Amino acid sequence: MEKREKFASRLGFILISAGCSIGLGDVWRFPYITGQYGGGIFVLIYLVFIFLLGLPIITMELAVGRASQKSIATSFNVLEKKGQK
Amino acid sequence: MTIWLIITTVVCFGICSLGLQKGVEKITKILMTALLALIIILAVKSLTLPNAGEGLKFYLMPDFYRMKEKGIWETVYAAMSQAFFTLSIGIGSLAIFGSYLGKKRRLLGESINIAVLDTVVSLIAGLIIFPACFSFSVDPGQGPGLIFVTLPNIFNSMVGGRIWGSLFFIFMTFAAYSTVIAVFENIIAFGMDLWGWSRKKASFINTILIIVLSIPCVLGFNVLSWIQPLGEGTGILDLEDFIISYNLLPLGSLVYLLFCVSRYGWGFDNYLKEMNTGEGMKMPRMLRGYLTWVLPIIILVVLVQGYINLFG
Repeated sequence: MEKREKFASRLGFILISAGCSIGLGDVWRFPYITGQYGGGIFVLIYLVFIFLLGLPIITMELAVGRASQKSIATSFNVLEKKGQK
Repeated sequence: MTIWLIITTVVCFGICSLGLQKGVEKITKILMTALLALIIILAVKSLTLPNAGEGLKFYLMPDFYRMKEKGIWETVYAAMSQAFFTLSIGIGSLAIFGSYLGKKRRLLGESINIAVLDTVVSLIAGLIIFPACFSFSVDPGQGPGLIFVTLPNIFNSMVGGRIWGSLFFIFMTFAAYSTVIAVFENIIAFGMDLWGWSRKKASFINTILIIVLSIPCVLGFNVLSWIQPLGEGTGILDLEDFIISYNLLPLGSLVYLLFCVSRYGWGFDNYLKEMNTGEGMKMPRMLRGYLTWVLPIIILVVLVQGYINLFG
């Protein structure tokens, strides 16, 4: 099988991954939900959950992806077999 | 609408088919840089409007009284689900980029960069919207229409408004495109990993598949508008949104989480080892208790509350 492609630069990786998560959720949904839930206080709670909830899951997705070198289709199988050996 | 659907799909798959470095990475870099520059200009413009201070106060000064009005738990839940939605975690779109990543850096630092960048864009988007809202006496709590209905009006009453307006909606398109490209990259890699297709072949097959599969959603707004799966006034898009936002994001996150912390999956030690390969910030082992016991419960709460809100 051909060798898996790699990112050319670290900046490229970060911009792409952030670009994937940056979308209508930021530009459209965030302002209107903030407006509906009272402004500043919502922003504060939201920031807390980005780090409590979002950040750990990001680390896990990246770890599973990097360790398996595969997409979600096969990554779990690859890692499970490795773990059981 | 069908024509735009086909254009978007073909362009984005075209970019993906060029390959990771030449296509996806190069284009996204340009899009992202342009996007960041654009929103900063717009935020500065918005902040210099008359009465912008009122908007800033609403946006950045926490007011516990307003929170009580809306309900404390409702506000907390809205914040949690927004955190899921904005990062689009749980559906493997970050995992795919992780798989293209070298082992040079530790993953915690990279994750923080991604989370911070996403949050910064959200916050700047707020800095564009709220000062403008208060400057032009628009109700900020009006719901999903906030940017679509309000902003064009706001832009119209500004000097050179047409230019500002066009810039903003170009920026919206960029934001959506970068997400679409990421998702397509994932689908393409799916085909490549599972059936050993070449990148070109996977791109081609998936372009056709996506166009065909997206048609019901488009028709849901006109020909098929009689299908109202989630009650009066909802369309096929609402059903698809429900499947993704309320189910796939939390469930997928839960799968990744349990896989990483449970010994029936990958196991915490393996996860920690992968996290701490390379240089940079280290993932502390003492977070194990939180990740194993507290985090899954938070995610389950998000999932269940979503159902209660919809069907309760």
